[in-house]
Amino acid sequence: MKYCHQSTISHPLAIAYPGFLENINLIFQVEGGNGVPFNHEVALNLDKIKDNSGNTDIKHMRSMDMVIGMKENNNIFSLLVDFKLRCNNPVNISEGECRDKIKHSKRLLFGSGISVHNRYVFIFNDDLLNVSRRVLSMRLANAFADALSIDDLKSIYF
Amino acid sequence: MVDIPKIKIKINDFRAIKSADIILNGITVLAGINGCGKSTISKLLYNSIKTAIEFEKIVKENLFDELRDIRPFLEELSHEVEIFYRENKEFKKKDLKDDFEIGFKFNRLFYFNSAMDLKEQENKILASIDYYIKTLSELPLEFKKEERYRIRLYRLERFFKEEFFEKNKNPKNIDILILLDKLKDNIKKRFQQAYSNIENRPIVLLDNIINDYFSEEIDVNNFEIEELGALITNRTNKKLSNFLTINKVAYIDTPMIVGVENIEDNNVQHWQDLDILLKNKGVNLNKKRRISALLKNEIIDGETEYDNKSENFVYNRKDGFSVELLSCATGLKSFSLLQILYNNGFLDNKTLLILDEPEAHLHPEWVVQYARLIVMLHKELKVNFLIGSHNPDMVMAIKYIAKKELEIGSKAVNFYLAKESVKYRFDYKLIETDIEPIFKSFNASLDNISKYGASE
Repeated sequence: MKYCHQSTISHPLAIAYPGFLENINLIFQVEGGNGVPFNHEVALNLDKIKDNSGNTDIKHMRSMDMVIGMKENNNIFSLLVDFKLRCNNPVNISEGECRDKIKHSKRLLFGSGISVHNRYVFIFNDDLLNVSRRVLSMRLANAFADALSIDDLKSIYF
Repeated sequence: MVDIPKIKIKINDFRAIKSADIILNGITVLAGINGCGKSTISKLLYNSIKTAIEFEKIVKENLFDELRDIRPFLEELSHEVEIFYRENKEFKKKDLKDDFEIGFKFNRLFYFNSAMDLKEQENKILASIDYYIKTLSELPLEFKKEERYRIRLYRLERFFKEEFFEKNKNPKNIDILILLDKLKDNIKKRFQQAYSNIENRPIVLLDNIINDYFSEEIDVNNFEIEELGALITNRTNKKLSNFLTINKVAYIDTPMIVGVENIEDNNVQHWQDLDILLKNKGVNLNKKRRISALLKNEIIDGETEYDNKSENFVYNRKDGFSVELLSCATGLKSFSLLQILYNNGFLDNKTLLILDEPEAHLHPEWVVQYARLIVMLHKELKVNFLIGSHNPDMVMAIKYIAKKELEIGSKAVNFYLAKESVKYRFDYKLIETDIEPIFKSFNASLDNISKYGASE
């Protein structure tokens, strides 16, 4: 399963909010990342879609940072990704926050007709990646939450 | 000079350890897979420190172990003399009663008595042999003439001569009085050697202990220990110095032994040592409110003590319920063990506690409490720790609790990770407080679980 530009830009939410399709590098940098790890790949900035909603309930939702279109064979999926690059103590990773982000994001994407991939990606800095991975696995024991570095994200999904 | 560690153990090519350079500056944690040599490091350090601290006592115990083989000979001799006088009442021995008494006293003399000065003990043993020399020389001629005594005496002379002085089987015996004189010289030499060992502290004593401890072939030259930069295991001078910064050491690899009867019959020395430490009725004059409260109020909800009358460890819960510790949960024993050592004053800034997988038997919540206790004991009492662990909660809790509780910039906490450099051989890497590499190793289990995992 790999990144699919066409699936990303043709997602019903992307069509509804084309202004929130952003270069992944930009989202990565805004969330605290350094460098330019991607080329011209884009993602849907889910936070911005939520924040710009006129619905108060949606505004108060927690959401993953971005949605990326994926394709495997002829099947397309949405991959949910959240950046935890400002986390400097993995012990502080909140189970409630992570679960809400997954749950609320799925709710935001519900009705699009596109399946949400059942692995949810959290991006951490390299120097805390393994401790974060362990904490995340303990906190979200029965969810497929993956702690990845930005390079892991690239190599697995791009 | 500020960066010189308190204790450093350097190991090369020793069992599973290819290389290790481990410093102890407060709390040192060794992490690595099963079989990477964590326990080997613990056992090496424990035996080395214990030997250095108890050197004089060990020399004395060894001396009396060696002397014990003389005892049966003298017992037999005493027995023969006694029978002769009993069966030949015509020869009156004025102080026959003394013979029985000397036999009894003699037995006691051949056991190490830590309360008695070594020279005094030597003099008493020599005096008892003088007594036999005198008694035998005063025996009536009939004793040696009569066939049955003659044969029995021959047996004793022959055994003793071949056992201690002439290994070749020469049927010609040496007279018992000459043998006793030789025995005196032999005993004097053994004591002389012991005095010399106490003064010169030869490292061979430690080497023998280490060689006996590990069942396979090992090379004792492949490890060394330094204290504040100075070599304690000095192989050039063949000397084992004493430690200045550590004067008490305990090795705890299981709480299961607390309260087990006849632990001395078990052949595991560090269990016997721990049993003695736990039964010690010392008093902690330096109690810290936070540690007492942590143990008594926050963790085990009570107090465990050794009851001299019943000779049992008893757990007294705060609500008045009391029970023998042996029948309590193993996790409770883990904490009780530290509580007893804390209450009896064993734990202070000169104590090294070596804990092998202390998290075993503990619920994750108590793993974190145990880590907290370790950090607090170091913070409040400056107790030194060497911990072998492969538990994520333990490693993470020690790191983050220490970060919060200890001074900023403190270099007291050090983590090491054992990495397999060649098959079955491990290098220990100092990673200070960066536990990421340890978790990379731990997380191999997550990869395995995810192969079978299911999502929500």
